[in-house]
Amino acid sequence: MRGRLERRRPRSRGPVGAVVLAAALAFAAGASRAAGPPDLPAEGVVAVLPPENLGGSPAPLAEIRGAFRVALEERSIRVLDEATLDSFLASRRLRHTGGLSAEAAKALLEETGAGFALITSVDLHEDSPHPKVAMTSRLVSAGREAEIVWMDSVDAVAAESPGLLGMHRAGDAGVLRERVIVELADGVAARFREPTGASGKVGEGAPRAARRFRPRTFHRSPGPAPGEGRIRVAVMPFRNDSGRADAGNLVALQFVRRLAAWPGVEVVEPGVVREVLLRARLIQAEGISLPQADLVRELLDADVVVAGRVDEWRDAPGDGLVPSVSFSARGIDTRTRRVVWASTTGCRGDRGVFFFGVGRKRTANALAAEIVLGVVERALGERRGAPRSE
Amino acid sequence: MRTSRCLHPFAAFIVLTAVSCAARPARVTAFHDPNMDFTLVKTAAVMPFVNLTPSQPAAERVRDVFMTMLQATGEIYVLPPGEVARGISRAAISNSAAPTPAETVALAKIVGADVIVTGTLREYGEVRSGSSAANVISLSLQMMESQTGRIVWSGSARRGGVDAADRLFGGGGEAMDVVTERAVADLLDQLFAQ
Repeated sequence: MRGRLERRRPRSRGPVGAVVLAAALAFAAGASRAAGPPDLPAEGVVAVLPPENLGGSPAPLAEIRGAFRVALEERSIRVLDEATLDSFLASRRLRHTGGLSAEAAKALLEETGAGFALITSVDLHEDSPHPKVAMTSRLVSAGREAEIVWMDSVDAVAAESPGLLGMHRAGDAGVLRERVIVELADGVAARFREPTGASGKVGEGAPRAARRFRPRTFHRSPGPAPGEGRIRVAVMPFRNDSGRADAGNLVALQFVRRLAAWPGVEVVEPGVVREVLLRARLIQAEGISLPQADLVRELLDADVVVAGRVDEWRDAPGDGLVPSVSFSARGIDTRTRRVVWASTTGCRGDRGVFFFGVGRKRTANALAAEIVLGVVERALGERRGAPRSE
Repeated sequence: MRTSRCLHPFAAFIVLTAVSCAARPARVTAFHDPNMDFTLVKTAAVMPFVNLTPSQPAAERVRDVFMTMLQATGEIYVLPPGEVARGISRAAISNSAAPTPAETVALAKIVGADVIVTGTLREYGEVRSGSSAANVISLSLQMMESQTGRIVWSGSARRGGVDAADRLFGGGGEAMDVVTERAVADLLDQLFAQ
């Protein structure tokens, strides 16, 4: 007997589907409030870790660290003094400051009294006649468990808001750096002021991905959502085939940021993931295999493992060029050992831009952030029924 | 009546112009094993593609698109690339792009796949014709079943390139990701068509 392959046609939801969707949205609206990040103490001491440079070019890291300290102190946030922190890092031989392992988080609280660590990466630092700066920061709780309590990414481009006759155009990277740090410090301060509110969770005013940057090739398994209630996600470092150093880490960071902001999703701190990968000697040159996914579930208690590959990351130096990003990503349910969603996306920063460059993404980092938001929306949006705001 | 007689040549001109300006249909060739029951195919492992183009990451990019689009059909589950890489390593396949029937059987057993898909990327990128330029992709795929390692489906597709409209009016054709998706969609049409 000769069989025939038939494709499944998408079925119309109809009125019943609409009612179910509305109920799911209403439920998720409640869930997003209930499943918020943990409350922060009113006066938590923050350890500002030395920033990690993922920008591919030199950046004044010490200056950036100092500026962060000042910006936080100006917002009445207690900051751990630099000498104590440096002494702690030296005593523990912690050279990698792009993440906080579980052991380091525990020791940080016990030995220094700091309740949080501010981990920053410089994603782009172009000190040219057309300067551009991009940074990503996250606040991770110290103590028993390293948990991401806040995360954001900000980029500033001199050509973005030049003002009348270019009078407000930033002439050097220092001005942009200051702008980025101020915005990130405001985010940290807001998180401290409103412990359960300003978490950056979707549904609390976070933007929705622009239609033009949503993934063109996407698949999501029709099965039930992995995990019950709250999903714990581990984002692996992405394989980098782009030629741009650290592009894999940059895309992975955007996934961490977008997933951490999603209601009902708990993201494992990348420092914890890194520690486990090193200890288990997990090398995932071609992506994660199923036995490796089992191991990640065992060691990190993760319901979903996100892994992928970056094949293009073009920063577009100067003013006239357009950034371009292309990557593929997959979410593997560690319980069923199956791919629950997969996406392949690649686009330029000027996709869908027709008039005077309005809406153009000027840095690869901003473009990646938008694309990743689109992927996360499609991967979790309808399933988790997260409320959205335009 | 006189008016309608005048319209006929005009309508014919419009139709002829539209047909001549239309994009060329994709060149397709396919083979289906008449003895194969394709409904039994539930899990596929997609091997790394052979890359005959100067663009180094092109084969992996096209493989990613194919894997996602194949899985998006909802009929076939596609194993993650890391699992396929583990299988290739465990089965000690020397040339992963062109495994022998014995290697195919061994690999399918290790990863639990019903079929193994191999592919060759022949063209990828920009082509020029006179002053016009456009993106083009040419791809061929083969599907081998897990019991004997024989080929049960084979297909190829080519999309993009400089057409008459590009030559007449200029323009750079379509974006590479659009062209790639169209070529992969053609191949899936061939796979699912009987």
